[in-house]
Amino acid sequence: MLSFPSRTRMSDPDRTPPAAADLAAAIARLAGELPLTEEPSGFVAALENDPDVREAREHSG
Amino acid sequence: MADWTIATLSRAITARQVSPVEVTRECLARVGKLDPTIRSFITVDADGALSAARELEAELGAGLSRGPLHGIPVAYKDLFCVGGLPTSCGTKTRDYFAADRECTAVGRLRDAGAVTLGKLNMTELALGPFGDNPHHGDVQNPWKRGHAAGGSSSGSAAAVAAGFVVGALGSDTGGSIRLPAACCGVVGLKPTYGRVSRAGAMPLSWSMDHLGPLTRTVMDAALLLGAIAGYDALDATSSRRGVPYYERVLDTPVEGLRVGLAENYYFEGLDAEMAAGVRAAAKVLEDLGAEVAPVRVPDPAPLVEVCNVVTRAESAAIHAKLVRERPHELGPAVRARLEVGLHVSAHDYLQALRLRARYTREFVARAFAEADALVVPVIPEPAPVLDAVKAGTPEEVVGRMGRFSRLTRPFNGLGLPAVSVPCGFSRDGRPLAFQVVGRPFDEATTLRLGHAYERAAGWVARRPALD
Repeated sequence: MLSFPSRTRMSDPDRTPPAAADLAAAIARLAGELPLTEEPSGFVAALENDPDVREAREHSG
Repeated sequence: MADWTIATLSRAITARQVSPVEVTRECLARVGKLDPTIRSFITVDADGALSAARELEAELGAGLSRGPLHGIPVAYKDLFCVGGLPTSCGTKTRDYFAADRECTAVGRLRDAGAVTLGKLNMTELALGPFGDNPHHGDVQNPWKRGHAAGGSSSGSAAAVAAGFVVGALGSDTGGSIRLPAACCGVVGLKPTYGRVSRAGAMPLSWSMDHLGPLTRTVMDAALLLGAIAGYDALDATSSRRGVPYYERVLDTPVEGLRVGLAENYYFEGLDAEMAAGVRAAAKVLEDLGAEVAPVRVPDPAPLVEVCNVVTRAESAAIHAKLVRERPHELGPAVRARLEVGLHVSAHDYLQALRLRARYTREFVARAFAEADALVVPVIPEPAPVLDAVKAGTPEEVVGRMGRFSRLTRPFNGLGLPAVSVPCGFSRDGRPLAFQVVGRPFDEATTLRLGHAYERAAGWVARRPALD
């Protein structure tokens, strides 16, 4: 009778690894207090809108 | 060749004391003699380099100079698309990544007169901080064989440290410029997110990837950054901000600059020699007139978790075809990291991006309220033994990777400029380093502090014994 070795976790990308569950749990814990106004694109805006960066030192380039 | 910097070599070329062809030949000879041991190159383009050098030499003969990078030998991490050369990205596939056109940063250096010597070794798919590679060989640390060169821009750092080139470009998604720079005793700069176009470089994580220079000195990093920075229509996230002449501000005294020594998180569990080296560097800055004070920054631990979600999801999306169809071609730890990303939900990815925006605003507002720049360590210990970091199960190796990059990863999440600067050596001769972190788009202040330290400390004169 033929037998096939069972697929290990490493060879089965469709099986959810424990590390993925850990990441999901972390996000669930951290995201609870997010305001409705917070948008995914806010990161770039946070960098570009920093008012204290001294534009005067810069030239167009 | 081993003693040149971009700045000194540029002056010699301009004065016609050496020619671009002579320099290129000497670099190629050094690579041929020493790189079989270091393993920093994947592709050496001797014919292309000599052809470019001849053209640049003819231009000089005709009285034409393209500026400080005219005739300067450089090389690129093997995830930058360079015309006519394959791009393996450290994988088993010779030409894994193809772009519609040459990488913008490469093109800008080429236009500025830099000579491309070839493509540099790296961790497979840029996923790992130690510089090992099962397909192209583990990059050896030029200061101590058998120890990690750091990754993922391992070849970039090792090639500069070994004096094969005077400058290289790397990419940094969780520390991949700064970690190898710290391990190999060279300067590595991760600019602000958006400062340097990512167009034409293999993406690992669109929203975390940064491209930047690795060089012997801070001045050289400033020269390369000035050439590659600036808006590029081919990268939707590239900033339209103007680019300073960085090299012109470096000699401005640091007296009065407020430097925060971030004590919480960054010094926890740190190797004693590394901690002493970073504190000594801060003291040098204080002696130079900077106002150095300990500060508490917002806890980076939640941000690191957010970074993990974003990076895993994006990298799995980008490399899904490889990980699903040819997973056997990947190293076990790289494969394990990618597979996790296949299971991050859209909900968690979006929540992570929203958290990242909030953390960035909070960090910039709090950390820079009383400081112009931060000083923190780069690596938790000097370059570890290669065999030791590769040992164990994939899960153990992945855990080790996360711990080794815990000091650099937060600044990818925050998108802030950070430069790794050498600050001495451990008792057994492994480089120590610290990073200077600045406000968004304020690379100038980070470079200025790094330059002032470098000149005062004098470590830059030391070279690894290879010949």
